[in-house]
Amino acid sequence: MDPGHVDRLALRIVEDEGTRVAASLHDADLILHICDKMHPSISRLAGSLSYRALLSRALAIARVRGKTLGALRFESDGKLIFDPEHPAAEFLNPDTVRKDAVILVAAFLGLLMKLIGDVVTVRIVCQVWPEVKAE
Amino acid sequence: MTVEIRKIPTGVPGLDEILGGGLPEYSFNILGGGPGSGKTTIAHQVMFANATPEKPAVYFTILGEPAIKMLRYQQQFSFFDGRKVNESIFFINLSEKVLSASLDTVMDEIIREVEAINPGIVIVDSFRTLTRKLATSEVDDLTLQEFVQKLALQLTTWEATTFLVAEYDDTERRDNPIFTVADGLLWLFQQQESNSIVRKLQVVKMRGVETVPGMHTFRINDGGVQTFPRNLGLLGRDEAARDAPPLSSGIPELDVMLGGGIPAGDSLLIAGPTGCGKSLIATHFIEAGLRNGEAGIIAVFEERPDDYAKRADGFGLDLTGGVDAGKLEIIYLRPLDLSVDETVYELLDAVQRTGATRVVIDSLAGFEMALAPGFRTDFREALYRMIGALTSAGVTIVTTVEVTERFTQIEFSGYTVSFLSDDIIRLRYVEFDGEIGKVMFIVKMRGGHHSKEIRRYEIQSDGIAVSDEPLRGYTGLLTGIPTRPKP
Repeated sequence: MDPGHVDRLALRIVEDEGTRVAASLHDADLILHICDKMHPSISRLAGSLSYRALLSRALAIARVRGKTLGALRFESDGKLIFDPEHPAAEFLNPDTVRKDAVILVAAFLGLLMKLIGDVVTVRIVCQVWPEVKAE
Repeated sequence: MTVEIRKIPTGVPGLDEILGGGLPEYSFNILGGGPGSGKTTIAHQVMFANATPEKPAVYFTILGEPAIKMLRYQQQFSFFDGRKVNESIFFINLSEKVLSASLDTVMDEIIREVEAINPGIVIVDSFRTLTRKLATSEVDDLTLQEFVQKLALQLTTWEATTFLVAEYDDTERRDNPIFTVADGLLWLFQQQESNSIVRKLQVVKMRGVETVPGMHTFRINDGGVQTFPRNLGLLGRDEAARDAPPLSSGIPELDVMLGGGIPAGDSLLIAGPTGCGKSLIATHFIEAGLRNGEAGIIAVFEERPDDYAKRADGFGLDLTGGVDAGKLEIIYLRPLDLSVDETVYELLDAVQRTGATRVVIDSLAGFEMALAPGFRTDFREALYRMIGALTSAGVTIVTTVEVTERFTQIEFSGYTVSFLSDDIIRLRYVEFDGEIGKVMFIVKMRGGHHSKEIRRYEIQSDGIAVSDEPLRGYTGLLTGIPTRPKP
């Protein structure tokens, strides 16, 4: 799958989740919500440690383009949190959050595709977001 | 009424035959072996061959190869169909449960998933890691055996065929209480033979089926694991082929010497010193078949197929045309670490693919060199199995063998394989009036009458030309230095 397709898939996921839950979430929580939603499927397949390793690598890749992603960090128990004190937090607004969420999800899916291939990755995505299946 | 045990396909070429038709349904099996022996790959082949949305497969991973890496590598094999993941194949990681919870919790988790998914195939990989982890806690052998027994009971009752994938070395097979519970024990080995590694599989036990005993070689290639049953081709015999008329050797005078040609279904050995035309006679045999519309196979070990065909073309024997028309396959068997069974498989596969009735093996020396050292030590058995398998398939085989020429004595083959051949043609250099000449004679034909004559022959620009008259008036021709009694 080319990067354009991965970006569009990520955009679709973020838009769906944004529409569904954004009203009830604070800005940065959208990113955390999407990550939490992927967590059970990936952990079931490969374990929590693998999920954390994948997400931390995806975050490192995505931070180059996503201004607000610098404010995300892992706690000692492996939970991803948003640090409001981090300098990157000053860029936070609904637009940047959505844009950066797309960048992070695209990086995560791109990494997964690189490691286990497009077909298996899409199967996992479809399990989390069945509505994507039609596309 | 007696319960019928259905056999399911393993998805591993050759393994169903070894298992006597397939894997007994609902059996509880252990797949053991050292690291890198192919256990995980076989488990995946079984899973992909059987999983359907109605009867899926579950692959529990426990602390062994991380699932992401396993998926990455396994999908390099052609059997891997990514579309089945999360549709009919479910990977479930139990590592954290094993690390943090009790044996009962692990069991509960497996049971919960099995009841939810209702799988037909269950794989636990690596089960050995689980038992090692348990060994560090206060779990004794009896508790572990009870755990395995409960697991077996649960999975069989839920109509699942199970594989516990486990890293065990050979010595751990003895007195292991877990193995008593298992219905099937499949063991994979990597044996070092000189500088070669040969992979072998053994079905140590398999309840409910009659398996093929012994060690079966296998390879791991793009398609996954491929096994080569050691009885490949030795069961059954194509008797109808033997009733066919004799096959022309492609050399009319030789056909006369053979009493009309090579009996169909025979194994004929052409023995002679270097450069005497053994390969050329074999080429005539194949080319005669091609002209008659018969497909053929040539197994070469020392020469590339293109070179072999071009050399024949140079004598006006059109092998290239046969290759192009799909009637001839010249198979270059990898000249390193072959097993006998693999060679037989390659040849039988080619025979089936092309419908060949004529096979040439050129030469036995090359075949021997291509085998892994362990198989060379019993080369006669290797030949027995190969020739037996091919003749059982109804093909007629011509084999070439080089013999060291000793003036004053005659040998039929340095491999003492003459008894394996139905018919033997011996070629020999002989001195005539200060010049080297070539003679041929038929040593034996198991099936019937043949000429007792010794005839001169020459290698000419269009191939072998055999004199239509026997050599008369000489004595000592077989010594290579004949004399002509003075009148």
